[in-house]
Amino acid sequence: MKKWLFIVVSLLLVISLAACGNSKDTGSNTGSSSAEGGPKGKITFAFWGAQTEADAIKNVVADFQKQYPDVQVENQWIQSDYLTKLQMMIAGGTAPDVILVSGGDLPGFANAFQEVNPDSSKFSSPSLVESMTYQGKTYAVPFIIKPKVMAINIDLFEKHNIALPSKTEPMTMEQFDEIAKKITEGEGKTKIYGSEPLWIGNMLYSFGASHYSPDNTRSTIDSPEAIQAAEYIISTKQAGIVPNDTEKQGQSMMDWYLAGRIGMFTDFGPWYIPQMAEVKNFKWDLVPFPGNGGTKEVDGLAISKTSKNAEAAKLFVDHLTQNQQAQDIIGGNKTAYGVPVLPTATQAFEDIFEGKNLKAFVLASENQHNQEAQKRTNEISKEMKMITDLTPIGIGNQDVKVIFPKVAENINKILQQD
Amino acid sequence: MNGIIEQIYNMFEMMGMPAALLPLLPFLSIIAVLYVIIFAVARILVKKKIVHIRSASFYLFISPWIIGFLLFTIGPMIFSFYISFTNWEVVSDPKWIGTGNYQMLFKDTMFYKSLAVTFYYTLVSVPLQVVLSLAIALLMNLKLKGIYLFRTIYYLPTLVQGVAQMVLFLWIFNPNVGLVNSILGVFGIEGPTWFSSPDWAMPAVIIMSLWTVGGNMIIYLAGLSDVPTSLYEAAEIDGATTARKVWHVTLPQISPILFFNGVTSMIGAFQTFTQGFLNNGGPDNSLLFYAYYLYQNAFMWFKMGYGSALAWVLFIIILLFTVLVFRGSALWVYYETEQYGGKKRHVRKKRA
Repeated sequence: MKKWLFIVVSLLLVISLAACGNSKDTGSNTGSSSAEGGPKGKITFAFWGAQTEADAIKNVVADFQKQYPDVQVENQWIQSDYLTKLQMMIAGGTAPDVILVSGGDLPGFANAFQEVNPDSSKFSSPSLVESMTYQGKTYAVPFIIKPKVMAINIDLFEKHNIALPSKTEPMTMEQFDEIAKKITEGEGKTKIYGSEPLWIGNMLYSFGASHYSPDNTRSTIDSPEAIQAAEYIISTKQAGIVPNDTEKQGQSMMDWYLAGRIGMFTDFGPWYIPQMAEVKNFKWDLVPFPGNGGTKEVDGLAISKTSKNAEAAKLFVDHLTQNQQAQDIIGGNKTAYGVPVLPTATQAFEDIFEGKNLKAFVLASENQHNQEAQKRTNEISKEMKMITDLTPIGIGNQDVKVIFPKVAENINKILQQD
Repeated sequence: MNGIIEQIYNMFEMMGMPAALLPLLPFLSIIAVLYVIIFAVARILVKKKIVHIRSASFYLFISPWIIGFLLFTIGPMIFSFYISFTNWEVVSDPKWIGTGNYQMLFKDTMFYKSLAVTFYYTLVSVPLQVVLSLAIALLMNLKLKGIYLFRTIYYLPTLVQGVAQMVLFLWIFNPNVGLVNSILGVFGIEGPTWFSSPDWAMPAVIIMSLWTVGGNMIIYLAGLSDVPTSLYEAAEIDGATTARKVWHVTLPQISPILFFNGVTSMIGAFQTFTQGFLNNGGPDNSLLFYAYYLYQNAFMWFKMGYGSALAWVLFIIILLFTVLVFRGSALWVYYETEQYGGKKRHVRKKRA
């Protein structure tokens, strides 16, 4: 009996101590304005990316620090599982003050962000602020854009006497198909393909389709245009102008392009540019995405709702997104981190690679469709996986006309959850 | 950061502690304070003769484990039980919805699918693992020259586990350049596409699960060397063949180990995660293991409440099956302490 009493007492102690730890925040307010007027104190800034991308961001942060020494920015470079870790930090009450977020992920986190009112006219396109907006409210300020363009192998074009495509106007899908067929030649391990396998997420837009209705409440993956896009992808596989699944299994299509085995690489984001510097064995250039397809990823800076130093956080966000020098630094980064959001800074991006048409990225950053975002994007992507599992777009053999409406129905169920 | 921890943190920061130690110090100081209090209480209780000094020291010695268990196991479990009755999107506050999550389970086709996948895997792979590891252990128990080398060889694969194992097997089962299909090709068989095929993904994972039988083998080996040779000698005098010796002496003698390996393999199989995770649930959800579906809900789809409900259902399922196996074990597991064929379990010694 007495032993039990002892255990109970010590347990109570442990629990009460743990409970004390949960009491409401009493942390000191480090964000009060100083006598000099400007914000002061410490803020934390979370971002994702590979080493080169993190270095690019750290450069801009260093520039901010130089101009505002009163604000200390602590970089939280999250190298993997960014969204999960962010969730945990928010749930655990340790949310970073400033958070890098892509337009596609924003709706899921909107609840944790402060509403902001950026001046849309300052940026190169009104679509940028739109991408940071969810249900009529804006939650982040556009910071950098990662559009998709098409990289071409000029040698293969010249070999088959194909006129080079326009550097500013997207080619039509008919032209794309024709060129891809002309370039394709050979057999087996040396076969040269017109293009890498096309991705439905890009092709939808080339055929005038989209994932959702304009008000974002309904899936339109069952539209005739979407099915047309799907059927075109299947036809490219059947015609052999793209590598099939067995041929490409486990291999990087970028490596194939770099080895000169692919004429047109459609899914080309800015992150591929550093690799291109090493290409010596063929001439290459960049042109707009065929049919103006593909989507651009807009990454913005959001301020956490629970930030204790929102003033400094706001100063930081404004500087990184609207200061000419900051945008020049991030846009002109040699590793091509992305296209700057300020129209006056895009030149810095174009100058990264002399003689190549980086302008294609800049044009796409204005004209390309935004990534379509839903709060439940991850759950929806699981339904989209059925497309590759069940239809000839991937490894299945069922008719797209049957599967796409089913997928749309499942997605609509997810959209109606709340 | 919560208030108290932050205050302690700031205090140490002002004291000029090295930055690398700062995150650790608040934790350590809370533990220290906790122990000072526990010691003080224990002292008072002992002084007042409420508890004996020996029992007090016993509880103090096991207190690190108890505290860890309470804070990091029971605490989160209670919290997840509460969460399972709410709709919690992690980035906003939980909303109480009663048994809503549990009701949703029964309408969720993916829930049934993930259960089916997990049961399929458990029912096929666990018996295979148990039989194969026992068979290897019996072979490795032979008194041969250089048997230690073979034991090492059979144990070695166990060192490559989890993600590394999965990545290795993704290559072994690669339809074009993989080892398995290359060997099949030598015999003129065109191998399946394994992880890319809805029908062959699970067989591939089951074959893969046999890679780590070496771990169980070691435990069987230990058990086998414990079987008294006198029993074998007695059986031999009675004219028993090798097969009868295995059936009547070896198996009953190592039945507790069979039981232990069976139960732990079963629980492990129910919790399979990596194989589903690294394949994104496999083609057509053929590798949608329950634990992976749970993870998807909780950590990818912002449905922490539903994920917690799934976790508790898994807990109940594992509990049920473990109880079932434990109950059934009375029929075939023999312990050395037993007398009269398993009726009397515990022989109490009278205190001197």
